[in-house]
Amino acid sequence: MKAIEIRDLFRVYSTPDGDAAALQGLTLDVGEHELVVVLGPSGSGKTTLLQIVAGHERASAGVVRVFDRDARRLPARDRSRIVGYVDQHYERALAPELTVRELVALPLELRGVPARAAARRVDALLERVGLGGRGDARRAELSGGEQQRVALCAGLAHEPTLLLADEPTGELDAANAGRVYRLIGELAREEGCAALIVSHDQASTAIADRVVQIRDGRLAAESGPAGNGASIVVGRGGWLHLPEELLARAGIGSHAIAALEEGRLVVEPAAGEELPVAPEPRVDGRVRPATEGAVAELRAVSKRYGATVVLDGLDARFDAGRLMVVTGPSGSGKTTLLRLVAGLAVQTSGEVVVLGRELSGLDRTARARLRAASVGVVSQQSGLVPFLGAQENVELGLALRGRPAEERHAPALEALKAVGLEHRAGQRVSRLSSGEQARVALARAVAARPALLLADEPTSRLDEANALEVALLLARLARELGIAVVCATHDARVIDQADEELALGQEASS
Amino acid sequence: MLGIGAAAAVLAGIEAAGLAAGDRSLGRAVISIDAADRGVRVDWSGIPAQGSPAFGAVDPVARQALAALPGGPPTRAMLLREAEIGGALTDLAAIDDVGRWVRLRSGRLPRPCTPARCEVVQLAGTGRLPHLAGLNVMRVGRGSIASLFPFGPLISSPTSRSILTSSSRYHQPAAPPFLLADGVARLATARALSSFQRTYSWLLPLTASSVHPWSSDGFVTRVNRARSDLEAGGGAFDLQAPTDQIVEAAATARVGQRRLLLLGGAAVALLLGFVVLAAVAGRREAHATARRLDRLGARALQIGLLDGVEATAVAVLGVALGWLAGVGLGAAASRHLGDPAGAALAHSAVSGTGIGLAVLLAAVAAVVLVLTRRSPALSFGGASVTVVDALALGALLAILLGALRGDTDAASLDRGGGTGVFLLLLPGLVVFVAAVATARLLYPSLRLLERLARSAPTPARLAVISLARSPGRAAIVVTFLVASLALALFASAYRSTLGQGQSDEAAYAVPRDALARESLDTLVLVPAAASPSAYRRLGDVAPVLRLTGEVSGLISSQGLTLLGIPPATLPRLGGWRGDFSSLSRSELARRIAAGPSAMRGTRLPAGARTLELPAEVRGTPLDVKATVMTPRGLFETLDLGLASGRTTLRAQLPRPLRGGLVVRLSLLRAGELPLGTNAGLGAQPVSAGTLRLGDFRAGGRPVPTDFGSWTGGPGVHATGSSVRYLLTPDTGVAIGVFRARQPTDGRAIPAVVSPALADAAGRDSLLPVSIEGQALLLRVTGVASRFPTIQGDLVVADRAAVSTAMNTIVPGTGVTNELWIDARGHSLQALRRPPFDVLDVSTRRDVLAGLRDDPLGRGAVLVLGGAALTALVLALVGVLLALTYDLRDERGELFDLEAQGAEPRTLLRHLRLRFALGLGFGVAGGIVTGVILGALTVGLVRLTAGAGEPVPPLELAIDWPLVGLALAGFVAAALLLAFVVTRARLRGTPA
Repeated sequence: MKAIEIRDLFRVYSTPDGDAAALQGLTLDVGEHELVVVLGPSGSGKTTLLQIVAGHERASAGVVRVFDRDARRLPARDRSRIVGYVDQHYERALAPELTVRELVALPLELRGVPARAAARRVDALLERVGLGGRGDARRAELSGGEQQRVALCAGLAHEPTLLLADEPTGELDAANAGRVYRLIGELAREEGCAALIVSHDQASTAIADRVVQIRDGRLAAESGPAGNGASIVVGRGGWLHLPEELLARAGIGSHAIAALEEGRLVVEPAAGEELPVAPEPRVDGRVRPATEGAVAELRAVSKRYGATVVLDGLDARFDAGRLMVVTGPSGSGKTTLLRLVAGLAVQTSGEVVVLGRELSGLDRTARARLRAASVGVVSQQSGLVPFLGAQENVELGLALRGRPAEERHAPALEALKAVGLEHRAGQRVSRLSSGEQARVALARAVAARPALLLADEPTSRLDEANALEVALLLARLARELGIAVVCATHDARVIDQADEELALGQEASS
Repeated sequence: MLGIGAAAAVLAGIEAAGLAAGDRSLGRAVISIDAADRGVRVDWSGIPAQGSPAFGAVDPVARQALAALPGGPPTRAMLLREAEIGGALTDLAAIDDVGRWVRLRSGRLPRPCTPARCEVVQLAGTGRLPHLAGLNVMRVGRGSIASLFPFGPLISSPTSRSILTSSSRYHQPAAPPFLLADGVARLATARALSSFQRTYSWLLPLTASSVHPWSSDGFVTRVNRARSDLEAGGGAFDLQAPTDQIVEAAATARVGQRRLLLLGGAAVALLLGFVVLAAVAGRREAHATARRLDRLGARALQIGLLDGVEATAVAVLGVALGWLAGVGLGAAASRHLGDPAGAALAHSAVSGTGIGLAVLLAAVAAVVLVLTRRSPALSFGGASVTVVDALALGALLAILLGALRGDTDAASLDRGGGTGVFLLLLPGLVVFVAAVATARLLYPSLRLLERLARSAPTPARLAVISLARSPGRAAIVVTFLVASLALALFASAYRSTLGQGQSDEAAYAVPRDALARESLDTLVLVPAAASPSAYRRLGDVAPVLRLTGEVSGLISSQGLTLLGIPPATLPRLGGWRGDFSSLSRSELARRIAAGPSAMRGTRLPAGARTLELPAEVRGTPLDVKATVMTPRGLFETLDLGLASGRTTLRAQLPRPLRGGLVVRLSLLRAGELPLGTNAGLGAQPVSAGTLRLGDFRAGGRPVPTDFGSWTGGPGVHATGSSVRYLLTPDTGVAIGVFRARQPTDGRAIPAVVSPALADAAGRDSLLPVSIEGQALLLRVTGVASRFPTIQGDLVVADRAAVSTAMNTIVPGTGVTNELWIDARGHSLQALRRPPFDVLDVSTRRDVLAGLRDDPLGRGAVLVLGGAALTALVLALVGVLLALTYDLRDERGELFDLEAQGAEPRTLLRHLRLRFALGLGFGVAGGIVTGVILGALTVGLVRLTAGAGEPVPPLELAIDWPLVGLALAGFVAAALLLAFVVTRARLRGTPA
């Protein structure tokens, strides 16, 4: 018996701009105790696939069977018994007013499990994930990793036979993400349940029995454990989705020829095909004279929030023309550091000097003026106005910096060019992809040619391709525009591009 | 929950206050019943000596029948009315507990009557006391009766008046002594009186607190049952009770209460508005919770149950707390209106029905909350439609249908049913539709504003963008403001409308400071009550003639009122409104001016004491009478004597006629006349001949008389002073008239009339009318739908012309019967004193005071004022809460703005501008909605503050200075709070 059986699954959405197909004839099986990881870029249909299997959405066409039962006709009571679900946004999955113990016990209570049996199960699970002593804590008292572990326990509390996890580590740093994936793998096998995990994180393949890749709503490739032995999936009608890297290396652009040669299928560029030029972030070629020495400096900086010490005697230096990444587990103070340098927070002790000015000696208005003149900030919540165009958003940013109206248009366009979005300048932000929105936020930050650019987890919600693009862009902005770029991240792609790394907080989140 | 509780408090308070006002109104109505009729009474009459049942037999029957009525046990009374007892005409009465009914002036109260010594107190009348063997009547005191109720209907008018007043201006026949003894049983069984007709009475006086709106129906039922019991028990019992007045007063009270529920309906709308807005605000959270539970495996039933319990808890707690507060408000309002708080509350807010209403309210709120939070939006042609939109469309449809059905009045509201229910819900429906429409229009308006603000300063642009980015949140604040301010404005507008209506009503009833007319009690004509100079000392006095009549055959009219008024009075006349006519008052005055119309005749010298008229009759002798118009405008007939052959007719001139105007001579047949046939109709007496007249002589002096300017009526033909007459009584010409020609002869009187009469006018706008049975010809020169003091169809004309025309036809029918007075100095007080105290005087001030003192009116004004204030306070609290939550929820956006380089000053300005924008939308929408609601309500609900039919109809009157002040105060307070809150929010560092 298979845990999941999917045949020719279609899911079409109606949008103001017309129908959009999230799934286009996907076929997939998951064995009874198998752990399958589904990888794919943003918009490939991974989450839609999971929602349909979980019964939260209805397929437009195709067959979906869960343990040999038609998923569409599965009674809610049975579904709730069979399926366990772990959401990517753990704070949304956990009610803020309940304790950890109550959160994990809730699924059991909803299913009528007696209180004592429920309590035993809860304690065992919490102990298993290392949260045995945090049963009385509430969500706000837990780190991100802890919260996701609680969510995992809640998803498994009722001993489901099928675990569904949607980007379970999307909001965690690398260390925590790895820990959570390991737990998922171990618990799923201990509980004997099948698991279908959706992710864009390659690290998730480490626990998989099988890895499948989805592109454009179809299964594109499949590989064995840890992503070994990848093969391209041949869809119904002979559809093949070839990886872009392969195509680029073969010199195939928009047209190709397929031929059978000695029992092999050979695909080669069509005659006269020009190799497409990979879009790269462009620069204007001018190098801004770099500021000599440090653009910003921290000298024995400490920051306390109540009794919690976030930074303790930190020294750091950020030079012009260089990309420095600030890494560390959740709660290590990465965001706090960026805020101190931006003048959006004030240190408890020590000195924060930006462009030769000690920030604690400035009032709030003066710090705002310094930011307006010399500092660009890309925060986790970009604050872009969804119904304004990309250029309008960038111009609004310049307006906030006090630029007169006649001095906004050209710099805005230039900034969008720098991030490769000049052809999307007039497009409403709400219609841009998440990666494009991240680039607009970057453009807004650099439009005024700041001396210092601070970016807080700019790739946290992006898929691999988009994350790589942004990482490359940050590096180019530093080197080609002479900006001191400081980026708080746990994204390896960004870290790979950095000139320097400042690692904060060596202890792991508990 | 705050909103739900506040609205529940308003509803409970209105219910209680409305009932208290109704109770007071009913109490006042009971008190206003004539004293003689103010109670339940059972009378029995008979003569023991003729075999009628003894007192001991009828007494238990009557007491038993009245046992179920309030105010018991009944007081017993007995009256031997105008009985000749021992040779003396006497009203001999007895009553139990005499001390309760007598105000002693001298002597002492009588002890219980016994045949050997029947002590009495004399209350009225004169004459000797009765002396009868077997009954020793002894007067021990004098006094007056405290209430006419025990004996009022049983005694004669002179006695009644004698009992009421210590003296009478005009001579009345002497009333017999009214003697009152203590104790009915002994007098009733006195043998000496056994042959006298007596009436026994069992009395239950009614007071202001005897009957209440919640017990009036039961009271009437018990009265009817008592009547049936008495009739079934046999015997000649007669039960009287003012049930008609009580039923009418109870209906008025009920209507007044229901009208107050207009506000209740608006409060319910506010309640539902809060519920909906809270549901919309919490929709995302509700969906997130539902999604979270769904992920955890909760079933739909479990999720639904959670929603329901949450919603029910909020609704029940809110309504419970609010209802308690409302009970307190109701108690306070009851005390303010002078009604015991407990009774009104026990039958309204805390009664079974009241509690049931609260429970129903909570249930509705919970259901609406659940539905709004959980229902999905449906898509229609690209636009999503929610449950709220559907409800709003339904409400709009209901408003349109109701408006098409037309207005309603007290009777409709009393009957209740569809129209009444619709009107009670009207404010709520309008506010609900407006709020939803505002929410729907807000987003496109904000987007448009954002486009227009592209070149505006950064804080302004940010403010608009911020609003447009989260239109849902902005919509919550704006619709809340629209609902609250609309209700506040409606309550204020309706209150000022009712107040203005009272002023209009008072001015309509008394267009100048005072109005004096003939009293039906004294029957003294207005000109006779005082001299013209005495009237002039009062101030500017306009003589007015009010007559009734009809246009024959005009089915659409139920009679008309003709008002003769001096045209010069019109331009300054109070009680007039522009909606009465398209003509201004000055134009009306011009159109009714008939020119010189004073009565013509032969003026007699003021000092003359005799009047002589030489006459020569050839033919049948005549009795000649002269009709003289006195200097005061009254008409008297002077008998000049028999004219036969050549003679001098002569009469003494009484003082009132001296200086008067002889306007006609009446010729009557005198003595036996020869019979003659006439047109085959049978024999009938006739008188015919010629009468030659000389000049009048007054006081021995000739008074030149131009009889050439006189004219004869039917049967009389005159050439100068030679008058030929032929009188045939059987064909209606019994009296020949020879009179001075009058300015109105042969002329139609110009008049302004009501539309129905104008439509009935014929060629040349001529309209014949019958006034007091006399034919009058009018020329319609203008149309007015209403005129002060007139209800129904109207004719307004020049008083002088009407007076002359009527007096010409029948002298005395056109005598001034009203005076409209603009008082000078303290002349209003003078009108209460002689010689004016014989007239019926109404002052505008008193009328207005009476209207404003009406409990229903006071209750309505109180409730409306309270509602306006509550709504304003709620609006203020609401925007403050919304601002606080906004600042909390938008920390991220504000942080991002500051991170991009926005200075704190810029952020502050943006926040305040954003708040002001939302406030502006809300205030504008609230004003528009409030005005629409006020106009609709005033147009559809034809009720005064006192729940009567408004005359003239209510006109929407918004006290703009007060409204402006209140709104300005509200806006200022809101902006100040916003200033403080935003400043506090942006203090310190962003993190």
